[in-house]
Amino acid sequence: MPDTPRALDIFDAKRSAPVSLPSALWDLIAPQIRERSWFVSLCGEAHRLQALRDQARDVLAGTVSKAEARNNLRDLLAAEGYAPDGEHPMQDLRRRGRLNLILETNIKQVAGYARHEAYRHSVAYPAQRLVRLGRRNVPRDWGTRWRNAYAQVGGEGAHPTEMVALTLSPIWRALSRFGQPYPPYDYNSGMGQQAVGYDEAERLGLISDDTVSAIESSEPGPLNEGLESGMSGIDDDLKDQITRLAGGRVRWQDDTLTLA
Amino acid sequence: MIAVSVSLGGALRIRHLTRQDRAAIAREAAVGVRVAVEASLAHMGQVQDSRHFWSEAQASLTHPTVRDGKATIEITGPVGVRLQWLGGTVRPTGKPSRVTGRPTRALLIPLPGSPLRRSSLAEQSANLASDEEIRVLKSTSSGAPYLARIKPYKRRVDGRAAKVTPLGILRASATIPPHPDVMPTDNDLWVASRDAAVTYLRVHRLITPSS
Repeated sequence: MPDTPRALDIFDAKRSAPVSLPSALWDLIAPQIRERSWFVSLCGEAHRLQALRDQARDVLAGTVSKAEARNNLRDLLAAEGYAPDGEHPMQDLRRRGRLNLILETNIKQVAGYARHEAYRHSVAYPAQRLVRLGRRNVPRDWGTRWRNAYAQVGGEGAHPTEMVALTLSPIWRALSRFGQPYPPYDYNSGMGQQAVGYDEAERLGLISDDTVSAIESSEPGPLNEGLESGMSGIDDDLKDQITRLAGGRVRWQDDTLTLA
Repeated sequence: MIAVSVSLGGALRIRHLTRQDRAAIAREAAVGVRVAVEASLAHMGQVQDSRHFWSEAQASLTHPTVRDGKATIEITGPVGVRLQWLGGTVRPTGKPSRVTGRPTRALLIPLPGSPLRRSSLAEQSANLASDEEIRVLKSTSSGAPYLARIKPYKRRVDGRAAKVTPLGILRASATIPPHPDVMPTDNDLWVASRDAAVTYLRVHRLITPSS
């Protein structure tokens, strides 16, 4: 069984993708590609992407605070005479809201990945509960979202109302805006997971005869094996749009997109 | 960074365990330690009605490493978890302010509902309208200094010449009391690791409830 990867190792294994796509188009790219890529929506400049990556790494490593990282990035942007491309506030890389979103989402994703791998093979804690870990002014309706995800996966390994499911249940991916089984499940979300012990999972009817063998034989996804993925069903005009927005840094072969 | 270790020794003495079982038990014990630390941090988040701080502390946990019968878990961030845990006094760093360029001589503690909770003082300063300013005022009741954003009215409103939005109070230092609940006790960690290991053994029928 492989060692549990550290969040920093996962972060370092990502490959930078200086591709200027809006988040709506990034959403169309397979989660397996996004999981292994360091990208920022509408940021196609490699040096800015690298600066954001460096600061996010330092925050993750605990060597700078989020406020220091924001200030460092603003200084870098000011030094190069940065001006935002659009008028929408979220297109301005200097704004606190945009920088926080970039830093928090990316850091929580690698931390979520590392946590998911830490619990992947646990028999003592085979399930997770969806819980609120951070207060939000306008919380989303996670109860409805859970029920929809439950219906989408046919309830596999999940409880219909308790918001508890096996760590390896497909409901977690169905719940996520990013298509990943680990938190965060949406932008600026305060929801996370809390480990649930074997006895409680059994009481909730989540444990079947083959649950333990499935846990122990589950294989972690490789971190960095080729940044390509099938995108069958994507229309030609959308492919053209992605290629144009990516400034020629992507290559299509039939329905497979490769980041150069 | 905070590193907490718990000795796993003496928790279980079961014969006839394979090497694979022993490795799995060590892994489960490490998971038990993690669960206990996550629960403490989540508890702090609830108690303090936190938005980001304690969930970021949870996100920064490294998975416990087990070596020589000892599990060690680290919290790498955010800055301030140790201060919350053990308590202490915070003072200004003396670094140049991003707003005035002069060495900082006071802590700025945002008030509840302050605009500083949505954007930094540097951003507030950069986005001031031409007739607005940020000034230090003194509380009429306590005389304590506070920072406020001031926008003059075109004509007096309720006898006032300007809209004053308090941003935060200025303090020479702030003392944070210790919060022992930030970390589980040594005994809690030991029990959590033992329970996880025992669950593994029980599920695999390597022990029975009476053993």
